[in-house]
Amino acid sequence: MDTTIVSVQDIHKRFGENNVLQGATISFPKGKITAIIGQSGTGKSVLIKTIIGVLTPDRGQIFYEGEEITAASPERRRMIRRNFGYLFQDSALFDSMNVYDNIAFPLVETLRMKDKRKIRRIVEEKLEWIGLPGIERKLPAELSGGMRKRVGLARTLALQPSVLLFDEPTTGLDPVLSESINDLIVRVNQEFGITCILITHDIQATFRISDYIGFLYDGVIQEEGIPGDLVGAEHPVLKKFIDNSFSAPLEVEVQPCPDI
Amino acid sequence: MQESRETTGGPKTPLVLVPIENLGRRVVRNLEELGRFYVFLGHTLRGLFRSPVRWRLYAEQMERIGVHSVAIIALSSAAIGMIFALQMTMVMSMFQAEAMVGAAVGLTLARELAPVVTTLMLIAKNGSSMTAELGTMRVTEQIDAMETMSVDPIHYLVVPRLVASVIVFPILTGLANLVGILGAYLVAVEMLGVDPGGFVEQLYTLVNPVDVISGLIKAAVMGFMMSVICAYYGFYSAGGSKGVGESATRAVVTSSVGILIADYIMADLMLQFLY
Repeated sequence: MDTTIVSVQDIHKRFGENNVLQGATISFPKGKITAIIGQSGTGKSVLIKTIIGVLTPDRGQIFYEGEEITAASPERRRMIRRNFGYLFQDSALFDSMNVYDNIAFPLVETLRMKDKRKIRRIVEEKLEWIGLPGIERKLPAELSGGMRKRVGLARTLALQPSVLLFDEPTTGLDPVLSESINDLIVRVNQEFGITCILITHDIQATFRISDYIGFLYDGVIQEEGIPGDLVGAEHPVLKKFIDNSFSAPLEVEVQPCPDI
Repeated sequence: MQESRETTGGPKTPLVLVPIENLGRRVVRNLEELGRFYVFLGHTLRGLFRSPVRWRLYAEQMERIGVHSVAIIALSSAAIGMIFALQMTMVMSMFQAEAMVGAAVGLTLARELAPVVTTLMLIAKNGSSMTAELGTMRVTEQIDAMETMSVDPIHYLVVPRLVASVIVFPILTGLANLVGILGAYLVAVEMLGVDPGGFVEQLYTLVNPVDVISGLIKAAVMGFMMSVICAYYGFYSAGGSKGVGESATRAVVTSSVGILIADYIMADLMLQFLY
């Protein structure tokens, strides 16, 4: 059986009158890729934002390597959080800084690294790894959506996290770029052994790259398991999700051009 | 039977109680906002004494708030000094007391006009951009990104702006005093023929160092207020670009009104205990 690295238990979160999470519980296996799928507005982003600590749950517990993060002191929480990385949906690059400074930021500010040569070496390594060498001086505004995602990933990897959370990593990208981002997620997992947790609408990619899947609906994880188990799941919404994503290819009937 | 209305997800409220309920909600919302502001203020003040001290960010902010505002402050204070001298010369000439123009302008500038005008100009120029910049960072999740990297965004973004404002506002107020009085001299002596000796002598006699210092203290307090208020509104912006725009407007209005109220209180206290 897989070892659990992160688990959330009975997480509740509401915004005003809106009960977004109503007791979400799931364990994430160590060293695996786990995807949380669900409809828009079901609280997928809220769930992973509570895990990373950007949002505080109203109730419930979050554990990292068996230690309860939700009960830890702010200082301890900050220390635990260093094991996590987060790739935002729109990358959240600092738009006043160039690519080099963005990737160097966690090295300088989080790790308090002072050796400029070492920082340069790490930044160049990360850029090489994401396949974008030589763009250090570019500003985020000069990058395409796919490039921004990859630079965001490089910045996240600079901290060498144990757990990496991806918020809709392929949203807004064309199929080719989406594929390259999915490949990067698999590489992150296989080459560095990082546990990846992603939330996505891309069901086909989810079933292809994930080792474990959780289905969030009505603020609760309704179904979870390995992809093979979920294919036969009974939940009507999940069933519809899967059926629509793996339906037969679209057939287009070609009509002869009418004579003019 | 009395009409009633159903609130979302809550029990039915009798119609007669709806205004009271709405008032209560409003009070609670305002108290929450006030509480959040004081938590933010406390966090910012604690940040002043926490390491690391980011000298580079302090210098950058001082350059942005200070160096880049020299021209606008010089221009506005020169204009105020000139206009004030023009009016004062007209009034003083009725009493054959034109020589008092220098002292009148100098005293008003040192105690009130220089700090207030400098602050209002800096709110318009820097306060709004501070809110907009932090607000944009908030709505594009850049502030959240900092938090995920275990970097305290208030310590990184707000503290340098606060320190820079508290240092730079008095310096620019000093500049406003100087340029304002030069403008007044130009109009009163060079254009309206006031005796230069009398202008300088009365200025020197009636304007004391304590007047200038009180103005500089006011400027430091106003710099503190502006940076905290504008940073607060930016830091908690929500609702995309529209929300950022609204936050900038609220920040400018609140800090402008706030510094005028604070100026009155400080003027009253200084009149009682300082002058």
